Amino acid sequence: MTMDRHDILSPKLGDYVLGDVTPEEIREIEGHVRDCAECAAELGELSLVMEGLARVPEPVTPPPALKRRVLESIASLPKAGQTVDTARRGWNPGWLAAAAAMILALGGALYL
Amino acid sequence: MDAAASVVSRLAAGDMDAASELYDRHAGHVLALARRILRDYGDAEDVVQDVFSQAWRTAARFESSRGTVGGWLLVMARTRSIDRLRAKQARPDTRTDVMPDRMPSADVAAPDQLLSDEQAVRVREALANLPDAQRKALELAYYEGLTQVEIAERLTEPLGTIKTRVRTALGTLRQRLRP
Repeated sequence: MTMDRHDILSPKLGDYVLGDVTPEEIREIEGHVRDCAECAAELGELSLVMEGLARVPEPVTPPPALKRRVLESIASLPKAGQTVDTARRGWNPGWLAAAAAMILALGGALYL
Repeated sequence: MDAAASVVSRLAAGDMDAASELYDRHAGHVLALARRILRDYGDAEDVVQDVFSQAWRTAARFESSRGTVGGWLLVMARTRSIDRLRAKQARPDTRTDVMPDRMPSADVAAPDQLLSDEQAVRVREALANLPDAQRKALELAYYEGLTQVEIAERLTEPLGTIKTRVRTALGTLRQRLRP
């Protein structure tokens, strides 16, 4: 008797969430999980475990200068999806961003 | 939309106040994880900058139904930290990143619930209570990003033994999500 896809792929879900899989395995696992409720549930739980492991180190208080550095670095980045023009202008009032988001949302709704 | 998801949608719209709020809420966890992985304060701070920059660029792709905002940032923090660690150690990257910024929007791997604070505590306790050999294998995989082949080589144990340890450890931690 040959093993079916589930028997082969379900033991690899842990490898998948840890990132220890080949591109081929990723395709196989993601394809299988779409059709297999049992594996989808297990993968959901494993994702929660990964987040739990990420939260094991006790949070620390970052040095105050780090926040300034992070925000300055963000402010220098163009936004994804923003036109070069808007990014170059160097100012971006909140209402303009909100209006742009609204237009995008409306556009998305119409498109759908 | 809950408050956390609304911060991300404001971030996607280019709101710097949202970036500041997100930083205040999550930077302590992101920095702690980066320090745990890199064991270097300067490198860990670089990772914090990378993570929030990546969040800024990819906020539009975040889906709140797919995980918590904190989880999304921490996945990026782990990936970035391990990339840096491997570069420093001149260790060729044989892993295939499943998780980076696409994990929260992938239509698989979607938890149907979000990790609660109690669950996070239970996972932490369960990790501490694992048999030493299992905990060591899982820590090398998660916090150092070693493949199981690399873990087997480092510990001079058979690959099958390592795979069993990691799988058993993950199974125990999964069980502990439930009270």
